[in-house]
Amino acid sequence: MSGRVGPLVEPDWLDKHLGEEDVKVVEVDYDPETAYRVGHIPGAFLIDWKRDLNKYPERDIIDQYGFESLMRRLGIRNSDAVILYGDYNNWFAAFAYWIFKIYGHDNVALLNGGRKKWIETSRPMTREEPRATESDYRVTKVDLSLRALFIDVLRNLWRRDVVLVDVRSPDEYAGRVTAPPEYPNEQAQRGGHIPGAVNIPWSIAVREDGTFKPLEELRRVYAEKGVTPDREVIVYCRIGERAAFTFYVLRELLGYPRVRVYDGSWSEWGNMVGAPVKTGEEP
Amino acid sequence: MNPESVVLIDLRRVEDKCGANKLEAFQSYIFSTARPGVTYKVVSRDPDTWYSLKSLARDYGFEVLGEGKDEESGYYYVLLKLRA
Repeated sequence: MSGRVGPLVEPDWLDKHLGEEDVKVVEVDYDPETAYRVGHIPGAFLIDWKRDLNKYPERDIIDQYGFESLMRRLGIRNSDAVILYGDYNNWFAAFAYWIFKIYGHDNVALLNGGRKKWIETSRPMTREEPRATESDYRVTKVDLSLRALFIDVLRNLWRRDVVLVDVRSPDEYAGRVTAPPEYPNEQAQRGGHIPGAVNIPWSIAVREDGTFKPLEELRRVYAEKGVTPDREVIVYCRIGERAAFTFYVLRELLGYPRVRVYDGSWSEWGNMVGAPVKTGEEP
Repeated sequence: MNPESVVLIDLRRVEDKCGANKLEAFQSYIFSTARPGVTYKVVSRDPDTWYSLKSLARDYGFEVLGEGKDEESGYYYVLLKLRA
């Protein structure tokens, strides 16, 4: 293939480039046992979100050495084009995309529609797991400007040139639920949202089949809520994966210059003693 | 129960929910409760959930009698029966 991809590739494009040596396909799953392990795109490697992109025992994303080691294990070279896709509407693939950007791997793209669209269009799947030849991957730059920590959010509350975007559901935003029952590890002591944050659920960006809506429509939807390219944007959700999805839409698809993911998100803010919280529908 | 009857199971509750362990849901709704001789029609709106189910059902001892998309409703379905 020789060249740069991204930020978005279509299933037809990937079909044509499958098997090329410098195109690495990676499935990023929250739940690999019911996704990658039962079938994936031929030749695709696995990133298990919980195991591979999070640091233990502390709560953090992997550091640059962890990223290097992951890339080496998967046989990804610095020059490779990496195509990411995954389960749950590409949420965790978008999180991985954000990590790739932080650690300077710019030749990366998301597969439009993720597993959902690939399966829906009856494309090839296999259970056979490819063997990687370890690479000598090196991280050469780190861009932490793409990430916001708790203190960064606190410092930017109510600034007119900064907009906070809460991409959770309206019920979570209003404080009617802290986390649905199926997320026992993501509960918060308080429900609500960060004061000043506007609620634009992640799902506003996709069609029923999981593919992205037209860019003009997306630009209008975000602008109507005051999320415009002249402002710095900080996005958050509950644990960061849906926020990374909206980060991808704003920065990579729409070209907003300053977008950060607050990956601590509500599971940090809603548990932090003294953090200001607003409930109800209004920012 | 009539052995020819078909039991309908709707997977709406597990679709697109991060954290809702699909395998656990398949086990509690289908795999651990299925009875011999009964045919189950499991429907889903999500092709990814449908694909997982039809693949895992074989591993869990089911025969897949049919699978596909109902064009009228837009739902995906899998017809399952415990292997004798």
